[in-house]
Amino acid sequence: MSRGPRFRALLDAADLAAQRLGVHVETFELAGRVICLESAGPGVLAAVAPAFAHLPRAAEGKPVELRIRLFDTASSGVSLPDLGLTQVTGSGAEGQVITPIISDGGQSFVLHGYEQAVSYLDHASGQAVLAVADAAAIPPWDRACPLRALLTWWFAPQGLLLAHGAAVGSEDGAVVLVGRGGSGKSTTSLACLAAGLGFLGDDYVLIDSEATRVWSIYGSAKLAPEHLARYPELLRPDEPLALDPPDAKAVGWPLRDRPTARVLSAPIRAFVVPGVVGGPICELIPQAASRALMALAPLTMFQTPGDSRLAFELAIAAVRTVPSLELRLGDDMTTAAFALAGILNEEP
Amino acid sequence: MANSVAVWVVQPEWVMSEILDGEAVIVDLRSGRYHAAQGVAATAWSVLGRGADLGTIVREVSAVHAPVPFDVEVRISAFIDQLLAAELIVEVAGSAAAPTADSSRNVSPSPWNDPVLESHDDLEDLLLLDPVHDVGADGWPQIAPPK
Repeated sequence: MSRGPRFRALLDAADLAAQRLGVHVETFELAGRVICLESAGPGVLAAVAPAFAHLPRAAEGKPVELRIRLFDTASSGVSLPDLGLTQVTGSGAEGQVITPIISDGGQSFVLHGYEQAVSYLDHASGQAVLAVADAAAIPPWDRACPLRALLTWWFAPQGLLLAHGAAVGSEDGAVVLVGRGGSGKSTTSLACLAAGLGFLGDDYVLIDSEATRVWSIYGSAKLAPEHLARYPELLRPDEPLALDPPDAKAVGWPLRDRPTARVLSAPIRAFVVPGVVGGPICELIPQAASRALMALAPLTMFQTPGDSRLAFELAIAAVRTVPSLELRLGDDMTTAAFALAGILNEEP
Repeated sequence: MANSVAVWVVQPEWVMSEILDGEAVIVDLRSGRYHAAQGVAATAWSVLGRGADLGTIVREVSAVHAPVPFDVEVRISAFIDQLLAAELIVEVAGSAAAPTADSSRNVSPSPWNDPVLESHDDLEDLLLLDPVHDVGADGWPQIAPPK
C-alpha cells in the first residue's frame, strides 16, 4: 500500500464517522495560521479543544491552512483502516508499539498503548487525521497538550519549533523556561503568574527561530501536588478521569481561570534554565548559550517523533540570538518572578 | 606521501552537534544521550568535525590552548577513547590530514583544561518507550511482509 492510499483510507474512515455522528467544528488561529478541527461527533473535540480555547477564533473569511479531522472508534463504530504497517515494538511497556512515517510530504505516527491513536499529516494538502480508539480514554497529559505530533510536523518546515518549555512575560517580551521535568519550569511559571506576569505556556510553546518569537499553543498547566498546595487560589484542576493512574499530574487551565494573563505571542528576551539549588532566594546568572541548547534541544527532539535534525537546527537558531540565563531556585519563589520581571523590564 | 594513520570522523548517522560560546553540545539521536564538551574538548571536537588523526588534533589543540602538557597526546587519546566508547565518532580509512590555516594561532591562547566529555542519559527512557524518534527523508514505514 503506498502512502497516498493510506491517507485516503484514513480520510474515508473520518468521512464515514462524520456521516454517522455529524461534524463538530472549532477554528482558531495559532501563530497567525488558521487551524480547523473537524470532529466526528463531540467526543474527540471535547478532549482536544479545551487546550486551544484561549487562542483567538479565526477571522471571518481567512483561509484554513491546516484542517485536522478527528474521530474515535468507540463512538463512531468506525475502525482504523488497515494501514499495512509493521509495528515496531519498543523495549518499554508491554505492547507499546510505534510506527512513524515521514516521506513524500506525509507523515504518520501510530501510538499503541495508553493513547491508542494514529496521527497523519499530508503536508501538500494541509490535511491531517487524528484517529483514536476511544475519546473518553484520552489521558490527561494528552488533553493538556493535544495534537503535538501533528503540530510539530506541520510547523517545523515553516521554521517554527514546538518546544518543550514554558514561557512568561508580556506582549513586549517573554522569557522561555527550558529544562527537563522536575527542573522547576512549572513552579517558576506559576510563581510568575501569581506575581502578575503574563502566561504563554507551561509545558510546550511554539518558537519562531528566525523571528526570535514565542507563541502560546496550549492554555494548560500540568500540576504536581506541590503546585496545588502552593497556589490553591490560582488553579482549579480538572477532575481526574476514572482511568487516570494515581501518579498522574492534574491538569489546570491558568488562562481559563485568569484570562487577563493571556499572552499570545512575544519577542523572546532570554532563555532561562531553572534548577533547584536551595538557599533562601532565587538568583539569575548569565550562562553560555550552549546550556540553553542542552536544556531545550534534546528533550524537544526526543519527546515528539519527527525530523530531529530540523528540530536541532531550529533550536540552535533560537538560542543563538538571545541571552541564556541560569535561574538558581531557592525557597522564596517570589524572588524568581522578581528576577525574571527585571529581565523583562530591561530595554531590549 | 601521506602516512596511513587512524582518522576519526563524527558519526554521521546519528550524531548532531553544535558549538556555542566555546562549548560543544552533542546529541546522539540513536540512544537519546546528549553530551557537552568545553574548552580543549570543544576544540578537539571541532577538529574531529572535519575528520582528523591524533597528530592533527594535538597540533590544533596545542595552537589555541596553553600551557600544553608534556603528555598532551595521552590526554587527547583518552578523550578520543571516551568519544569512541560513546559511539560519537568512528574510525575511517584515511591519511594524515594536512595542517589547516588557522587564524586562531594569532590570538591569545585559551587556558588548557583536560578534555572531558560530560554525558547525560536522563532522556534514554523516552526512547525506550518510543523507540523510533528520528525519521529522516528516507521515511519509515516498513511494509508488513506478506504472511
